Amino acid sequence: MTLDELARLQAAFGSQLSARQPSLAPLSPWLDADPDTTRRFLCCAETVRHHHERSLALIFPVLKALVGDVFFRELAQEYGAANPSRAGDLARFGVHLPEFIATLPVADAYPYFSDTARLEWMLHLAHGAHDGNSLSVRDVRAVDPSELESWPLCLHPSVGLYVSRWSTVSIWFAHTQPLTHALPASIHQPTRAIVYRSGWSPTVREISETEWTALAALAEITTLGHALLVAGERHERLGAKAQAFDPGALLSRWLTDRLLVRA
Amino acid sequence: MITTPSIGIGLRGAHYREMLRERPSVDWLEVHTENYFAAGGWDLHVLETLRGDYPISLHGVGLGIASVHGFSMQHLESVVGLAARIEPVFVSEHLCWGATSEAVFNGLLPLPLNEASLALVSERVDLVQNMLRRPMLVENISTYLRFPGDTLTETAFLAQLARRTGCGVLLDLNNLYVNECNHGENARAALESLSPEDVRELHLAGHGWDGDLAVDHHGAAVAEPVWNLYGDTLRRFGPLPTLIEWDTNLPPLATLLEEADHARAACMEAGQ
Repeated sequence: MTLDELARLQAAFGSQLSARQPSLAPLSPWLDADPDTTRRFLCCAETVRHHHERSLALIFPVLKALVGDVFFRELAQEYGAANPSRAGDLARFGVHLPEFIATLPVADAYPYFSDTARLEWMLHLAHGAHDGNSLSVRDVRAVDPSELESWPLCLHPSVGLYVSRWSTVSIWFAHTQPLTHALPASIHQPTRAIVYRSGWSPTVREISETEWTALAALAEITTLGHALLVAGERHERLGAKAQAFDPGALLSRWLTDRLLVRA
Repeated sequence: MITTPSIGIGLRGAHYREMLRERPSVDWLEVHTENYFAAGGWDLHVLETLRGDYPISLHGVGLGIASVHGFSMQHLESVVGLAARIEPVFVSEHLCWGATSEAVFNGLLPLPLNEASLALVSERVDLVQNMLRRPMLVENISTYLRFPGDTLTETAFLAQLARRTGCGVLLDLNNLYVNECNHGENARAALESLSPEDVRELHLAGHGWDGDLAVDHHGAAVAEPVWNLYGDTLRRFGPLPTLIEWDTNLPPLATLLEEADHARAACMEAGQ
């Protein structure tokens, strides 16, 4: 056997591993196609499919609960066929699953499945994000308030801004913390939220449009003063004067949640 | 005279908090390398904390050292980066391929055991060791398939690989036993192909059955025939760092520690 032949063997083996109905005919120079060998090859293919499905199930548990085990298994197989893994690290395999679901017929009846998957992917990214040095209440108390306002800040690497037309965050909480959260009465509730790490655990918190405006500004790196200014302006435009704009409360929450780092 | 070898257990996420809290008496820990490729977060934090108390071994499952195409330098660089950060006692991978130019299969796929494969794997092991600046270990795998045209047994392949590259052999005794069941390969004869200086680490794990096929699922206690093989292995090679591997149907940590105690007792028995 030459290296080229070994490459041809691996290419043929790989294409049949991925095939819906594997055949050993392309492998005839190297493997018999008898029933026992065929059965053993199918065991190899099943093991690969199982690894892919399991890796997706670990990252998308709520999606799996929504669609059910049988549909999820088929989804994993269809997804793998359309989006073959490109890395030896399975943690990256599911990156295209949210957009893939949006292309399926099931998306017509369940349009929030894709956004639920997108939320779970963001939580997965938050789980492994760089630790960063987030600002604490103690850091802030140590500086003059006027100096603090001029600090260039950005969001901690684990923080992501999430928006959906559906009440997907409520759905996520209802599945992950069912004792304290019920399923929403309606899915037709637009959601704005941040995904971040609380301690070491990724979580999500729904936020107002005012807070979203400030955090979106900080995501682009800006000063604390500017972020709070644009948030205040947004608050006024929204006419939300019944609930007063409270920049101090926002800052306190961000520090508690460790959302900010110095840019 | 056999003395007690160093017995380790596989560190898995479900046992993190108990490991951090209890710091049980175990000689070393082995982790799956790819589980710590993230830039930060809980997994890496736990590993960096525990490495203060336990020697760590990095055991890769995704490099695919025998993939002709699809071998990823980016993946290798991640392994090297993690090794620099964790300073493990061992860095190991499997004797398998796992990718083509079209896709990565994330599995340990069977390799034709012949001179062409040996030349390719030797080249890859050289590359990995040059980047790591240290020897690596290469593990025998369990497989459902063997290629009729093979010209080498797996352990003879590994012995030649060790001669050519200076790598060590990680000998998985459950894999040897599973291959004995599935291919009629004599596990004890397989040991004869290896010399004591080749073998640097042993793996012990559980397996199951799918009809008449043994399945290397790492989801059960070590089976009696594998314990017997462990005894024979210790008598041939002397005490070797030994890992209790358990990846699916994960039991309480105490069960893994009991398996580690069993390994110590088996070593004492082998020395009598």
